[in-house]
Amino acid sequence: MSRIIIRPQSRSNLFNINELWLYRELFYFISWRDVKVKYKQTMLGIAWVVLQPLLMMVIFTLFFSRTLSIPSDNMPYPVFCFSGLLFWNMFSSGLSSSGNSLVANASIIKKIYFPRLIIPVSAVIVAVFDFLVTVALFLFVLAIWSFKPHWSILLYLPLAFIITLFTTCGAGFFLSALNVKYRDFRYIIPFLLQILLFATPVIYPVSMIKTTWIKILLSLNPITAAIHVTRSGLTGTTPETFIVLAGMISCVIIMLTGVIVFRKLESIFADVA
Amino acid sequence: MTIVDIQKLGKKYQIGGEQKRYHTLRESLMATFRRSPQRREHWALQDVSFEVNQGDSIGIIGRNGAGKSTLLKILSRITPPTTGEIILNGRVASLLEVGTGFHQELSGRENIFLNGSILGMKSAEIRKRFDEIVDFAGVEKFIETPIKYYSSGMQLRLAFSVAAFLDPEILVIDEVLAVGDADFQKKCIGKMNEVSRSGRTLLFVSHDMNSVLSLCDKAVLLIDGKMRSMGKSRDVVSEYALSVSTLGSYTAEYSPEGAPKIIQVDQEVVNEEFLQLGISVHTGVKCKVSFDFHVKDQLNRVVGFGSFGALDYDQILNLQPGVANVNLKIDISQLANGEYILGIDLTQPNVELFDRISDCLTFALDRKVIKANSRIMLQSWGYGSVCFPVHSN
Repeated sequence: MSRIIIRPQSRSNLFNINELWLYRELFYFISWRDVKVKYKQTMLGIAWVVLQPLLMMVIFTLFFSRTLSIPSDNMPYPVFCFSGLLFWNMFSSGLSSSGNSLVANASIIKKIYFPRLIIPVSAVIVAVFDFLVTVALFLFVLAIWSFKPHWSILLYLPLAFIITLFTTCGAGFFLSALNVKYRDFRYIIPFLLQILLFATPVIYPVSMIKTTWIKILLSLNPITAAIHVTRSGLTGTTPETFIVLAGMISCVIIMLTGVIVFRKLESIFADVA
Repeated sequence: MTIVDIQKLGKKYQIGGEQKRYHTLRESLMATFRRSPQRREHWALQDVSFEVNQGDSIGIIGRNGAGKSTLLKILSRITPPTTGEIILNGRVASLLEVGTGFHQELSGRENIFLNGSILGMKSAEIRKRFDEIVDFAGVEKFIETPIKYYSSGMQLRLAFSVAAFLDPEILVIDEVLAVGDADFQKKCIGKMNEVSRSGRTLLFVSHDMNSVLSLCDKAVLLIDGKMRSMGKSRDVVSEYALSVSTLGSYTAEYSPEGAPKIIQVDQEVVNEEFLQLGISVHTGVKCKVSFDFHVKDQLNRVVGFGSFGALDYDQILNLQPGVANVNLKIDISQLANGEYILGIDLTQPNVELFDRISDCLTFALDRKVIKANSRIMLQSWGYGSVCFPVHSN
């Protein structure tokens, strides 16, 4: 027979994997609901996932490649740009939906107990789902510009995916928890994402940055590492160790900070959500 | 066997002049530089301890703000306690609301799975009982339709059906029965009876003393966050009714413009024949009003009704903006000795209900023997509360 003890501030271990495992079905259903609901009432449905990065790619190519002739690491610019958009879109849509997820699900949080981490993670899962669709689309983009990627992409793409996933989750935990307490974050998130788009090498290559301190600053962004290793994988060059290491370390820091803040605020969610 | 063990449970909330649902970053930043405004502590629950044995059904009663909902939230692990602990020896399902997590865009089928899993059912379990759930709700035809096209009654039935097939060892229920039509409520009570008979443990919070009496063999009375008593539900319910009954008068706030509202009720004379009330009504608009009275006994059952204006239109009062004072005399000569709770409705008969006070004030009847050969009827005899005069032909 199961035995539950309720105590003041039951400070369980950080991730409480056992409990998450117990609630795996709920996690599945909530993610499934989020994915399903996202496309339910849209006319074009899943086509939006395809259209959005395609249009961004076209616009960026026209402006940055044709007009400003930004270099693109020995790749056709559309391929270059799309490889950046893959991870940027996953990060930005994952972060904006997970950041608001707790507030949006306040009605469930106030009525039922379950590990609260499920909510922001399911929001990120929707972004992962979109990511998978975009990867399939990316294969077409590669075919159209007849760009043959180096085999090492098979190693680097999963690495980049994991870095992006952890960063998005970590930042999502942090922002969603604070958003419950301070609604200011609802306005901060879009603003933050706008700034970050330029602080991430989506439209320009890392190699373009020559100033050391800007490069260090850029490397602190784990998405930089994700995009950098992917492009290295595509062209078959070796990624810069510094960027990869810095990105991975800051990814871990973001994840830990996110979980710690989330856990600390978790107990008040039901009272203030 | 003890299945729920609550020890010295307490929950403290911070309340202050600036209490808000959420904070802004600016306030928090400012607060670090400024002395924060004086914050008061409020114990929503304090030093509550009791045990529940397997198979018991326990009613938790108390007035608004007595801590019932807080206790329920702690039991459901939605919010942690400040002190004390609870040991639960079994799977808990809490039903603080029906249809938690229902999504308007999803179909009936999808919502059954989603809601079921939110309530803690395994998907295999839901699949196994799916047909029964749909059958119980009576929505077979629309099961693939998004529930935004359902009527609110259908949504409610679907939501309740999912909850009805929960199979936990401990079931915690809030006043979800307050919603829905009479038919539906009957169905709910039936289902809950079944749960308590099948040896599962039921914790039930309610305002409705009748459902507590019919469902629960034991009850816990909370007053101002503290546990007053625990025992047979009949005894505890009557203690609750008496705890409410310290009220000798009623006052309420009002706004200058606005609908008519009862602002003061005073009990002027009570004797064995009549109850005399002084009622003040404030209104911002010209209106016609009548008063309806209902009298409840110690178990919170309505035993008597009286009206001034609703049954006899000549009595209807025409009010002008401002405060009106009305003195009314209610004949209570047929009531048995005992304690009663008076409630008042302020209405325009058959048109509008302006104000309702369900526990307005209480009065006690304690007649002495009047004539040498007659006896006084007591409420506690169990014959009821109204004594009809009986004559021989």
